[in-house]
Amino acid sequence: MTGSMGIGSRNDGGFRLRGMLVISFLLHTLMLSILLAMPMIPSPKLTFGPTYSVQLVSSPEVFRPDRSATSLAREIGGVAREKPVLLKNRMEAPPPIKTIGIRKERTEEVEKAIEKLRKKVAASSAAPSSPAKPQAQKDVAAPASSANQGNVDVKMQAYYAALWARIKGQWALPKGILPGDNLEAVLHARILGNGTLKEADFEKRSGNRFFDDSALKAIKKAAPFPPLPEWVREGSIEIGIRFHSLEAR
Amino acid sequence: MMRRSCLAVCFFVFCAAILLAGPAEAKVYIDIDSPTFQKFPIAVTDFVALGGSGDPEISAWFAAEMGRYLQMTGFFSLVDRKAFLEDPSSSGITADKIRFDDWTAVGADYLVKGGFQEKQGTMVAEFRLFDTVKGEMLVGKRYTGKTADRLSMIHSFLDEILMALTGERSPLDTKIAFVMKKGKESDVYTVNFDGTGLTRLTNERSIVMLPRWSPDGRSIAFTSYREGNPDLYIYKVDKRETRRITGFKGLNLCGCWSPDGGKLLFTLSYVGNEEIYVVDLGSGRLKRLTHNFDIDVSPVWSPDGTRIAFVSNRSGSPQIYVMDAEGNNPARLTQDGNYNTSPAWSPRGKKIAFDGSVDRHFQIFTINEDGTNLNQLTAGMEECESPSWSPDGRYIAFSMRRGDRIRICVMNANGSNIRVLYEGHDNGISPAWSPRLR
Repeated sequence: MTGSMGIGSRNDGGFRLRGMLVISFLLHTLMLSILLAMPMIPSPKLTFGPTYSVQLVSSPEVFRPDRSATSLAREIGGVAREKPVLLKNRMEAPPPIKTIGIRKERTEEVEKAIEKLRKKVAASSAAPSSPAKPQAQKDVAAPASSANQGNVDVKMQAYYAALWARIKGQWALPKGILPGDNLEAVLHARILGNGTLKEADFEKRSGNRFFDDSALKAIKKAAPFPPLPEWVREGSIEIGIRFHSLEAR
Repeated sequence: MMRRSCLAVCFFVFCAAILLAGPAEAKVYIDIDSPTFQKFPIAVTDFVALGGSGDPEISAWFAAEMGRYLQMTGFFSLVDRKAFLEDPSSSGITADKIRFDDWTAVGADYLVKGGFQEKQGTMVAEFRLFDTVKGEMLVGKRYTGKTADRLSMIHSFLDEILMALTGERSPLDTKIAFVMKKGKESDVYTVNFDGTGLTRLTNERSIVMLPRWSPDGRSIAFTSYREGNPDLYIYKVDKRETRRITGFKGLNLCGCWSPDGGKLLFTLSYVGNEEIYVVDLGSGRLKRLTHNFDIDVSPVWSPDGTRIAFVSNRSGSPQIYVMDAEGNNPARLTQDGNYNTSPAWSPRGKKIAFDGSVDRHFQIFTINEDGTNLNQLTAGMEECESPSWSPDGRYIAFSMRRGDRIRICVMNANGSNIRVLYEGHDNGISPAWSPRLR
């Protein structure tokens, strides 16, 4: 565009070129602003990638190992066993009365872990400066706080791990009642400072009501949760929980 | 002037973007991939006598049978009665008289309560299913019938529970046909899903093989040596009569009914080797589907009738193949193992069950119809053979053989919850699950 302008009118080309440059600069600034503002437009599904994903598998001391389908499938899929063991014996879920015991133990362990973290926080003087700093702000405006941020993230992970273990520990869904497709239900939950479940509802339903029911039931059964760490300034946290059927078919 | 205002607008937008971006907190998502409990925890209390006094034995009988049938489905684990916190004397069978916290505390997601009243051989029984977490009744029914028929009330309410929690009735309205051999003679027998009602159907008194139900459940096709040659017959269940369909020289091996019940897939060997044919039962017209110098046997239709799975040794060992309904485009499905046979297509599609040799023992497998997700369901020293799907695709019947001890078993489609329906020392082979019969 600027090229054709230059050929068409050489006399006042300098001025026009400058004008066009200014307009071009303004347009670019506008585009950049819109681009930056884009993530603020709420996506209807709210399943955009979390800025930090919770790596829960790597802390085995917090909760007991997953004794579910995969390990079983692997067991079955392996070489033939020596003894003719009927599979039903191995498939039996532990009697629920046992679970309560396990759950309590687990909670205590988690409590201990959190307590440990609390002490750590108290010990380090830098830590309390900016808990739960928003991610976007961290990128744009306050790169200096990212070290603390990472620290807080790690500490918060212990709490998320506790939530994960509690909710998973209450999720009951028999194999074989779902269709073959992979299902995903996304729920959101608001947890108050004392661990009370304030609300739990669907962000995205899977389309299978038995799957959805079991997911909501798991969250409701898992409540009340451990109290929030005291350094969480907001009175409550909001989390999303994604349930997948991949291993429940 | 114009430029300035433009710049101002842009600056404003830019600042707004930063300000908005500030408080936008990223929400944390927790991913949960597999449930801890693969069964619904459920509690069943003793039934109460509604009319005041009632036989305590019947009260306990209702609870015991309800629990037994719930466990039979493989979808429920019973909460131990010893863990119950509830005081039976002060609780009722309606939601307002149940302390649901007592039940969630012992880990019961669901609760079955009921009551009965018996008068001169007539039984009135009430059944209620509660969701203890929501604290509400999900389904409640009152049945009236003869005291002697009270088991059918349990069956009916089991269906109600399964419909409410899994969307499908129990397979109690189906039968499993199989071949039982006594001495040198064998016949087709049936047994119910709960192991009751063992009944002899045919009266062949010769070698019988491969019984297969028609889609309407009124006929069973099978191969019998009654006239000296393995010919193909159809037995009409209601009329109790047998009709010969084909009697070609050599093998006439029963295969599978078409989904509309109008055609029958089977194997003939009169051309010199086993080939798959389809016969139109109305016109009797015969069509050959495979043209191969190797053995092609055990054909089964996909539930939609567009494809056929079968066994062929064209690659050197018996393997499962899938071709279209006209016999074109055969493709090998099973790649692992050196002996895979007896394919059975799930009525819900997508999966094919078969038996395959592992360390010289046959085991039941499932595989997706695209060849992925191979799963070995059984393990052990027994020979597990001839899988057959329940009409809802949730269970698989199969035969289990060790030495001269034969069992007809059923299991959930993931290999759990194996139950023996029939056990004998003679022979019980080739189970075939009926469609729903009511």
